[in-house]
Amino acid sequence: MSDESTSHVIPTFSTESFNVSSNRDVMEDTGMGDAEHIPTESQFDAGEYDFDTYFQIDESIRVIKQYSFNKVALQIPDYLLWASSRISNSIQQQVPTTKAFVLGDTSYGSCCVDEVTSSHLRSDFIIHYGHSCLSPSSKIPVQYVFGMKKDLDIQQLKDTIAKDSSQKYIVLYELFYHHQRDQLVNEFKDNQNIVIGDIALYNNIFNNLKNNNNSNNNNNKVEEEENKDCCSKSNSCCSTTTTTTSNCNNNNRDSCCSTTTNNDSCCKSTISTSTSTTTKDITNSNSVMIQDNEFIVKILGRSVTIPKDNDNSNSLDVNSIIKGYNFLWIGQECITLTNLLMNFNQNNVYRYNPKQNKLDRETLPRNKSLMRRYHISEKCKDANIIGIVVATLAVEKYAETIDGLKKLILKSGKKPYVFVVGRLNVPKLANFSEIDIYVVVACPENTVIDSKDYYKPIATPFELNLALRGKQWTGEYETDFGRVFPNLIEDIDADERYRAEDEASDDEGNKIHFSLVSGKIVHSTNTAASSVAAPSETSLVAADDAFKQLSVAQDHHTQRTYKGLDMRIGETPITAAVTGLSGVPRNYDTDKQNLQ
Amino acid sequence: MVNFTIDQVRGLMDRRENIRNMSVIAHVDHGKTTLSDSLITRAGIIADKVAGDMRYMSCRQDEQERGITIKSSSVSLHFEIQDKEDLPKDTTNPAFLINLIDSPGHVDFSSEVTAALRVTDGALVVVDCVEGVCVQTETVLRQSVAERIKPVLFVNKVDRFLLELQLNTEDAYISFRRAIESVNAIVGTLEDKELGDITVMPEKGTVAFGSGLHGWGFTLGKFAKLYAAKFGVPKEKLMARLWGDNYFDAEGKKWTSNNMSVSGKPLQRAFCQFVLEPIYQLSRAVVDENMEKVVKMIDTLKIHMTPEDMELKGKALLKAIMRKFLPAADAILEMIVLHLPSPVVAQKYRVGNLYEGPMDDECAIAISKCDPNGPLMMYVSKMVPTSDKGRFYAFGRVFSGVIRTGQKVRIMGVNYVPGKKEDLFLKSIQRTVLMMGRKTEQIEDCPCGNIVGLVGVDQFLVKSGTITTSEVAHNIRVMKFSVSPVVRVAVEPKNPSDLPKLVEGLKRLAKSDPCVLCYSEESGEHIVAGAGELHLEICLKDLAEDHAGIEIKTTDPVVSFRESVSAESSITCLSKSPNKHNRLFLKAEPMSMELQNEIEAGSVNAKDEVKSRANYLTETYGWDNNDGKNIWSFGPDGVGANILVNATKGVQYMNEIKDSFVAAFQWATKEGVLCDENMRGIRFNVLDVTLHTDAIHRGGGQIVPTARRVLYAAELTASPVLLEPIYLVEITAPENAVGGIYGVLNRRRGHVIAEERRVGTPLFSVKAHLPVLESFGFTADLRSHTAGQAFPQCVFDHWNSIGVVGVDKRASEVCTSVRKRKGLKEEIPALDNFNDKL
Repeated sequence: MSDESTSHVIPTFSTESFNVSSNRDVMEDTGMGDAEHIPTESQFDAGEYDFDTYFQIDESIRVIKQYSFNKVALQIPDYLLWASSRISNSIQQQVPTTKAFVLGDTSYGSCCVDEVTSSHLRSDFIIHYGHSCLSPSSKIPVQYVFGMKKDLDIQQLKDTIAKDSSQKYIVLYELFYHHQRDQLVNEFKDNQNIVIGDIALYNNIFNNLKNNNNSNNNNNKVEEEENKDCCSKSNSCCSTTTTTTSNCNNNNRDSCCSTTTNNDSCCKSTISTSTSTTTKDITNSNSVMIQDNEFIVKILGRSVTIPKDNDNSNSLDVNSIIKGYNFLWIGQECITLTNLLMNFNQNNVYRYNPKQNKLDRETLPRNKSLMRRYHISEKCKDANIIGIVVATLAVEKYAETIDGLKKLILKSGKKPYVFVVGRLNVPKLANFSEIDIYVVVACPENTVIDSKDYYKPIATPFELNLALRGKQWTGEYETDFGRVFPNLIEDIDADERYRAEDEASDDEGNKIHFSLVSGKIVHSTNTAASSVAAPSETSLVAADDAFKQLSVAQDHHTQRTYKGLDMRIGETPITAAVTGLSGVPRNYDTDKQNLQ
Repeated sequence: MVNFTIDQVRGLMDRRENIRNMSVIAHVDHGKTTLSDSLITRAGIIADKVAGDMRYMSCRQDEQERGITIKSSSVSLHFEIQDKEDLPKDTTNPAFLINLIDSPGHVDFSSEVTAALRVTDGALVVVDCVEGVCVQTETVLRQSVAERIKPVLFVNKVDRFLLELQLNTEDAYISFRRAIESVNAIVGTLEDKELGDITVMPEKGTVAFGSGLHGWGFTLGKFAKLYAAKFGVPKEKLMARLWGDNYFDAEGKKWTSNNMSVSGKPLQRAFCQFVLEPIYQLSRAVVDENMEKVVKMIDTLKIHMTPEDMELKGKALLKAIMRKFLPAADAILEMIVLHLPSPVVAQKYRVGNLYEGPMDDECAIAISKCDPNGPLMMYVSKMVPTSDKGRFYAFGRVFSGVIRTGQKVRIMGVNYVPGKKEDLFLKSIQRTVLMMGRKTEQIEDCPCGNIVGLVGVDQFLVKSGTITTSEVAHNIRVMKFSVSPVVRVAVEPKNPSDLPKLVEGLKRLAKSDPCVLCYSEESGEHIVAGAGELHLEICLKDLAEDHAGIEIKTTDPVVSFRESVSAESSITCLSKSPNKHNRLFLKAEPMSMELQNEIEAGSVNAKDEVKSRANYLTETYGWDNNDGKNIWSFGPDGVGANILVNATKGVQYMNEIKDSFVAAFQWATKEGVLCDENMRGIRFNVLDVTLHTDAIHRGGGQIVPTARRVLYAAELTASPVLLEPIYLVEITAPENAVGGIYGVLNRRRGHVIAEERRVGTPLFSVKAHLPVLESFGFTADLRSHTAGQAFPQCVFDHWNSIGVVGVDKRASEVCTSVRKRKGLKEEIPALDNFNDKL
């Protein structure tokens, strides 16, 4: 797709979404609570927002020039699509050597960087506009442009919080308040109890970029953290280099390679310059870094620097320290906030609503939604056939996660199938009626799919892991499969495995349990037992065992009434031929007559 | 109390002709448990110091405190017939093993009664002679006849006639006769050829009179024996004369049916003269402290009293004398042994009712013969908690074969279908135990005809099931409960991280009670549903204290509603598939109430033969015969009272989309469009379908969501109504409290359908319909407005429409509140979400 075509409506290549279009869907699309915060074209025309500032055109151009990117992909969500031609025009005008493309409909959520589509275009730089889930992508340099909103009055916010200064807060904000972060940091710099999260505006861009970067609204501190980010990510970069797909052109690969080397050197330099810095994995790689007196934790793609607890300085358990904090969310209710509530359901979460200048405690729905998710997790236990839906091709470790899930499912005596259907919608998943439950591998914001329209429920890797590993749920939740992944690959240790008391196995080794969801005793065939019975492929297998393997599929076939073409010669009454349909399906020519 | 070793008991179990399995059933507070106590004192088998104490059969603390039975419990008794002549024909051994199950009388626990009846062959129906036959007596009687259980009657609390009410003998006789007649009136309407005559008659010895509390009781046989020598008439003949309109004319020295003597003097009825009079005289003498007369009477009646007993005074003395004179246990046990069937006799006619499979397969034959050498067939009717937390004894009856420790058996749950693997488990029996009230005793094996507990199969059964060794065995029929769980609460743990514990607890609770429903809803709410408020209260207490062991929060009780329609769809609804290539045209219409009930009772179901079902529907409900033949599905869950009819003519590929359409139908009927409740009583007619010619464009993905939408559209256009459950309430109260009852009922949208004075008593009984929604706190409210004199019994009766949603204000309000509770958007989605335009 070239830039010429951008003036047309971008053709969608996924099935037109079947949705009883509700607010919920709007939320999923924009990631924002209510649509009124999305500036419309008319607001720009009226001068409420400055186009160039809002879309940070100058900044993008500076980066493009500096690295002489040839092909820039502009990933613009639907609700900002009207701006696409203006953005691409300005970029092309100011950097004539560069071609700017507007990406079509994203393969998955518009919050994720669409690396696949941009690879098709062989672009070497992506500018991602609008709401983002900030999940790390691995291959192509990315710049995030969030847009901005001006209704946040920091002084008011300070007053509101100050009423109770003894509380410790981790402050996170909606993306379009990012432009006010400096102000925020300044205002609260004396207050030790308040930690403000930060967002990296670039992904996979080398650190020399930022050294020239003083004129920007990114201050130095941000850059430093950016460095650390790169450093901790070096491993994954290396691994992705080896798996880079052939459709990347040379240019692209070069940049990847250079990324790697840069990262490497960055790692070295970090170690050599600050010997006190240790990188240590606690919950997971990439998520926590420890410096001498502070932790840097990644929370929902934002990096948060938390000072070490003084009373308990040798404690390395970040999670327990985080538990001592409250969260303060600035902005509207949105998926990111829901994610925050789910992931940190032990913490108090407050929401500061800039519009009303109000501080609310967010509580009620999360208990309910956790219950709902737990219900789905219980359903995983009952399922015999599980579909793994791939809903990202960009987020780190997705392939490994899929592998891990497959193994886990097989080990539990169930059957996995992998589905790549592009952007999820109801008809696509309803095509596979044999699947009992789906598990979706997607970025954190698209992971929790809570729609009643789907024929079969959709679980998250965390829930599946919880259910199949038979662990007792202690109330934590994780939407980021990257964090579930380490648990996924660790071997199931039979002794450590928590056994629900209602679980038992019959004399054939089939595991059974009593399901509250269906009110029945459910059994899963123990494939492990039958594989012991058949030590090698050539040895004789009792017919019974072979049947056991088949039984799942067999059951489904017996339940079907339609068994394929059936001539029924002589049984069907002969009718005279009638005129068939003509015209387009949207409105056949014969429609009117038929109705009468 | 006989002291037997387990080996001796085990020996008794082999003599099938000498076994009686019976349950004690009655209305609440008619004295079942007290009566059982007196039986246990006399004949309990296992030495236990507490046996015979008050309420031995009520094991639970709350049962003791509340004075009501909550769980049924079983005990084995040993009884030896004194008089060899009386022995039943099929045995020569005078020793009998009686397995007695005491059941709860409160209507909320009547599922326990059902579970007890299934494993027994006879029932001792206890009726309070003052209150007479009440609702629950009627319910349990009906159930027992439906299970082909023979009843015998015990008219209880006769002591109240003597001491409290001071009724004269003729009035007492009339009360007795009325009680007996009402019982016979009920069983008479339930004629069952296989079961034979089951009316109870004092002159046949199937009715006993007495006082459970005072421990005395008698059948006419006892007195007939006493007088037989005196009159020189055979016992049997005399028995017949001691009941009914029979009078002894002393002047003419002959029996007459006229209540005048030859000389015209009024005569006393034989029953009154020979049976009641001595008892009355004795009690009057004792109460008047006329010791001389007492001693004299004791002598003539040959009652041997110890000197200590004679030192007692008043009621205590009377009790002691009567116990010696007419021991209740002997009278009742004798009645049980003589008039209730042994397993060998009973299983012959019960097999047809019990077994689902063909009557000529090996299992049916073994059951009908009660053959210990046949294949094992056992029915587990309930789960009894063990001391091991979370584990249960599977309690049930062995109908054929022998069940042994270590035996490998097939455990078949309710969903088992012969030849399929669903709900079938192979497992070895870990242990077999004898259930003895509060105790259990391990036994090596248990032959057919007996009641036994199993260890190690509880995890494979939800509540009940069949255990067998035969590979061809079908299930033993599932029990039908007279109550349904209509009162629900959502529970959640106080501390969210206790959720897994709650889930475990709910699973245990689900097993421990035959009726309670525990499930989790799509919304993530965990629901506990019970038959009534009391039932629910007990269940929740058990859940919090025993099963989960955590603090729980419960919501206010909620009732489940049903979504239905009241008219045919105003338009033909159309939905287009997402790709616009397929169109489905459909209309909804209401179904007749009778048909709905028949479907729910299972007499019209998905498994019926298609043609005969179509003919039946045509004849009975005036269906078009073609429609009847083209029923695609019943739903929800393949059994519900909604029907999907393929009314299309000559449409290609219909059989291809059937599976997808049916799947959508099941889905939609389970979660209706109004407020996600089950649908009920809707018939959906698929009128026309346009399908794309390429199979790929009419796959499940296109059809399932579309069919669901068009079903919703059809429901919305057919004047959708909400149905609420309605209780049938029966309230017994003295006349002066009736005004209060009416007041309370009016306030709670109840309306009275019948009111009658209970003849011979000062009591009124009021029958009314009361919405379940309004029943919370009803009992307490009623008590406070009638000074505690009114006792209500609520049983789910039917579904009733609240009104058209969207038109009727209240229906819309209820709908909104349900949606709110479920976390749905408050307003019902608009029709254009589901109905497309051409």
